[in-house]
Amino acid sequence: MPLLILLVIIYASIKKVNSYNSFCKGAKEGFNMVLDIMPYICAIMLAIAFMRYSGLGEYIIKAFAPVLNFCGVPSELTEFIILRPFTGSGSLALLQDIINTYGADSRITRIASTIMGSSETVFFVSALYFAKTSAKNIGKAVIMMLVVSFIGVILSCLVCQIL
Amino acid sequence: MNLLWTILVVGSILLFIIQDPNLLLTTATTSIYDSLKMCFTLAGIYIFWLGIIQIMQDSGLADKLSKILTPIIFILFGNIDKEASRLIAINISANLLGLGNASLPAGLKAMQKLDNKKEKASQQMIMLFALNCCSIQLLPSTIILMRSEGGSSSSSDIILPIILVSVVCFMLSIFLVKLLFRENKK
Repeated sequence: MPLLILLVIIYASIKKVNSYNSFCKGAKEGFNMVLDIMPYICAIMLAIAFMRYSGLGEYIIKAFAPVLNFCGVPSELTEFIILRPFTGSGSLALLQDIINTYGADSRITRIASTIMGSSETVFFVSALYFAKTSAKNIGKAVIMMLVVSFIGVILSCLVCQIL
Repeated sequence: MNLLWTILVVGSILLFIIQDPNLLLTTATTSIYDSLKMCFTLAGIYIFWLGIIQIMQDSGLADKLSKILTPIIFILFGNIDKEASRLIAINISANLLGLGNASLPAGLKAMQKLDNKKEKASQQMIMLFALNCCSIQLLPSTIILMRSEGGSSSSSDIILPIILVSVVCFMLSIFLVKLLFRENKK
């Protein structure tokens, strides 16, 4: 990665572009961009924290476990799968737990890693990407992507079974 | 989104009231504090990468990148303006390289370019969102690192399943976007 950045700047010098000015021009937008998405981040983090500390999260996990089990997903992964669309760092921490508990080469870890690598934090991405736009009706898109992610989860289990 | 948020928050508050009302405010303030900390981290990421992206745009490197990816972008997005397609090119290639931090600011800027200023999101906007939800990565380095640190004997054998599943999800979401969010042609 550092190499890539070096290449970008060297290329710019060859093309006789003023890197310094360009960098400042781009950087100027950075802070505003963060300010724009700040309220959305707060709202989502608040909901996640509430869910976690009130114990609501556990009820949701319990409620979903049978559904996931029915689809062939090991019950050890229920919490991980529910958390995945909400938070990236949270699910990474959970993946670490899974590795520590079940071992790095276990089937559970392999499935969790595949899910981690092939899906995204849908709620977060939707909040960030649509924060600055005028679009209001994004529920349909979010649901669609959640369904796709869920299919991805089932696929992950299948693929890890075979490979 | 509104409905989900309301349900989650109301449900949690009810449970707080039953169990431990004092915990509510502490949780709220710590989580906001954490969010702000996260915003500062993000600000660092954005400012750096937006700077680099601007250099790429000014030097014409972004143009080259978007030319390579033009066929893909055309299939997915149809005709869109030059700058948006350049930003999407950066967004996609950063995703492929696993530079999630770099792809986010490029994607956000592209989204603003695509914004149709209407209540209803356009197909292109949904497509961009869907692309970033699938996050195809050629080398999921974080996960590989975590596994090898956990003592895995073959930590990189996870690459194939990950790519396989992402590609299927990617195809599926493109198909769904094209199907469900068809623009009304006049």
